[in-house]
Amino acid sequence: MSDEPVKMLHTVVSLDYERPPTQAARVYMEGIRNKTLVGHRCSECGRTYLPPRGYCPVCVVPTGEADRVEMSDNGVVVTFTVIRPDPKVSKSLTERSCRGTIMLDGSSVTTMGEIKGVDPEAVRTGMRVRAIWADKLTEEDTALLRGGWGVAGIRGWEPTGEPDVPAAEVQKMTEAAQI
Amino acid sequence: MSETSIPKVTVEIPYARTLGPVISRFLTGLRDGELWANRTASGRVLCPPFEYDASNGQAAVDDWVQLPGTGSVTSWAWVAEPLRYHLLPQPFAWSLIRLDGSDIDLLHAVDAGDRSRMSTGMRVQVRWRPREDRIGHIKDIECFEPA
Repeated sequence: MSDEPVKMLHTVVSLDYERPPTQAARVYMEGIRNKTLVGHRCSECGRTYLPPRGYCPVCVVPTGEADRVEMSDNGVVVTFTVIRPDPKVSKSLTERSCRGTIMLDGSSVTTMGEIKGVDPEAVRTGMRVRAIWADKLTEEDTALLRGGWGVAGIRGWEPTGEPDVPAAEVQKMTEAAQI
Repeated sequence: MSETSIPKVTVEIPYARTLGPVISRFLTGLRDGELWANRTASGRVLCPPFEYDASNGQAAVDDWVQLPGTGSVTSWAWVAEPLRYHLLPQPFAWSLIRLDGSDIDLLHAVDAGDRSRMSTGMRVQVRWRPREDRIGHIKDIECFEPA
């Protein structure tokens, strides 16, 4: 117990979420169990959503079973960031890593994940990657999936070794997804 | 996990911030079991202390007053079912407390035992955590209790 003046405040912000899984989340989860990515394609604008949300926020129309599409688990790195942990700040993270957004082939939305199997400093926009599937879903994966959260069940993305997609084409892909 | 259960996801964010001279002095006081207020240029007394006078935007002057730790409830809301991170495990009242000697209200919990014992204007006094548990945090005040 020190008598020094108190200079810092440490606290924890903790939020509990309980959400019944939507029909769309159930469809998505079933897909993940079979190592497939199931999304919805909007019947009006053709945008695809993964995980499916049950609606297209751009057109404001519902999407459902009729709009179900199986997506590719291959894609292109659109943007990325290299994480270089500062030992002064982080005790648990020590290794450099790379997180990126990946536009799946044939899709118009990006998904986010860690890019593995390559030196983080060598990752680049336009790199072709594929999903690294989890061998087994953990309890946590299941909970996240049931809540419709992100891409649980995929452990990251790794290079396929195919030639990069030219930057101009990546830009076109992202522009097509803009509203 | 059965197909009909509702999943529970907890999102936790550890949060750290530097305090600056005013809040630092206030929280250091709490750790030492003392309630300090600061004064503004116009003479208003603030507990909790602020770096500025919210009524006119002037910087607070570096002038400190120790308060006795008693006060009156100016407003309250009863919490019948406390959550995991609430200050008290038993039902309590979130209250705005006008500490004796202060010109503004402090938000804290009042442990009145039962809702029927709560009233606007009731007198309360500070209940400190044990010295060894105090770290320089607003929770160093365990709660206020009826005086």
